[in-house]
Amino acid sequence: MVAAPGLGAPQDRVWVAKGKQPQFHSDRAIDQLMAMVTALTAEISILRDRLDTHERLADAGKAARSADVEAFIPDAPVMAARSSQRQRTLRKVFRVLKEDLARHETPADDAELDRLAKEINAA
Amino acid sequence: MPSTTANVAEPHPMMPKVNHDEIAEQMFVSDLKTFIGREIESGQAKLMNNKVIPAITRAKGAPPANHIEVRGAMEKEIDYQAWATLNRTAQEMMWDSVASCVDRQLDALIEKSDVKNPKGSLTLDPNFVVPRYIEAFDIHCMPGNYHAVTRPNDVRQGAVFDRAAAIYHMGRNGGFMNDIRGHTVVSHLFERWPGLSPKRILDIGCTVGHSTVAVAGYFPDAEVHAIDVGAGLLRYAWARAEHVGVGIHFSQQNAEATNFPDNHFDMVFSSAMLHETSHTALPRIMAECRRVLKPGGVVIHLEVPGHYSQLDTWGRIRGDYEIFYNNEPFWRGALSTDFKAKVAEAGFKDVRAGYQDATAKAVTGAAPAFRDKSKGVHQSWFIASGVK
Ligand SMILES: C[S@@+](CC[C@H](N)C(=O)[O-])C[C@H]1O[C@@H](n2cnc3c(N)ncnc32)[C@H](O)[C@@H]1O
Repeated sequence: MVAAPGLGAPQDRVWVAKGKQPQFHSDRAIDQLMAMVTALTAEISILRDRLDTHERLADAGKAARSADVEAFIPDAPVMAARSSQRQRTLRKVFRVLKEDLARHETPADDAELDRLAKEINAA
Repeated sequence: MPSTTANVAEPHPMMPKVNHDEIAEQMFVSDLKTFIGREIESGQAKLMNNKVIPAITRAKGAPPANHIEVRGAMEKEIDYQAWATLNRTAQEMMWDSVASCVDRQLDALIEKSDVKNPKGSLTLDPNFVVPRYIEAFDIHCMPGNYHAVTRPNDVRQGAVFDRAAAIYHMGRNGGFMNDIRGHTVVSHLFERWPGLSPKRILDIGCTVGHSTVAVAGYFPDAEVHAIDVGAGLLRYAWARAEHVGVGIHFSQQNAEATNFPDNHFDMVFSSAMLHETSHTALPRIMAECRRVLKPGGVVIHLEVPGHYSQLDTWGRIRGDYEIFYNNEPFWRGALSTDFKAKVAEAGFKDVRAGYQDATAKAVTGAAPAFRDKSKGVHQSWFIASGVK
């Protein structure tokens, strides 16, 4: 377990939760990749909010220096629009997961049940 | 919950501030969690019912014996693996998004925690021994858990917890103040013991004082005490309470054995605390509550609604995820516990258990809101209460 309380610079700090490290896929590398893709999606979403702030400042004929971006306070409609955009991004990125899951809306067919039943009996 | 974005809308000076990108990141994680719940987790029961259970039944010639057998087969399904990975990732990202924001302003927060002329007090114990059930796992995968200390006068764990709670309860527990549970405890008190006006109150397992501050607000003349295990948590809680104008006496103590005198309090309560303890600790905590209460004093334990026996197969598999992968080791134990019996076994009289409607404001003489049935998560809280 790595537990290095946050005294140093953030890049020096590795602090993971104490407890068992999970592995869900057959290869931990797949878990890692999913974590990285999700983190990248977050980064895109942050960029998109920033871009949105720039555009809204420009629409209002205002400057968009970094301090102006920081001072921009989104109102409720802006927040709602950003949230919808995030939902859209999430659906696009994780589309394949949703589509694979949708296959289970109906009972599995005979061949698939047979295959799985054999696997279960072999285990 | 629109107010979460604006620094100007922050409810008290201890709440960590967020810059443009930090709030964007935190809102992303919040939306990610909602997305996973609504659109990925919702398919798991179908995977189980339409494929996994029929396959087990075909293989064995009989339905699965229990949820553990089903879980074993689910864990081999890629669609379950993807959900679990995503769920764990979102939880890790949540703490990371808050911790990075707290760490860059930790010095300023520590400075603000240096309250002048406090109304309440803070008593830390440098020799405090953290209970094993807290020490062994970082609960909810929060690195450093409730008790890590990173520097002198630290408030870090409290700040991280408070910021995360404000964002990630998504407004369902009283917005930025996160105090619906506290109001619900008082609502229960008013309903069961309308004549009681407690002069001395104790909150065990107060964390950052979300519920304590709400309870204290109803009894401005009472002496209010609150205990927890972490120095950084308690310093944050104390400063937060002072900044909102409430004097509370915080101390670092184990609820299993405190240093309060016998027959001292009129009311002792816990809020969402017992499920994070252990089978051994539970009766000890119940007994300690009784010891420190005056004869005629009342105990109120608020817990998550629902009982293990009511859960279906997916509910149990989902619960196992919390136990193993979200570090909630006592989750099943607590949900299987008969809290009413535990309170009675500790020697309390007039013990009742049920579900109190969640409320953002307790009023005396309100319509009855303590029921036999839960209205659901965030709508009701389970409560077991009694009199010494
Ligand atoms: C989920 S939190 C409680 C939240 C809080 N009461 C509220 O309503 O917002 C559980 C808390 O109980 C504390 N706790 C657990 N066991 C304890 C013990 N034996 N003594 C004191 N505090 C304890 C933990 O440190 C943690 O802060």
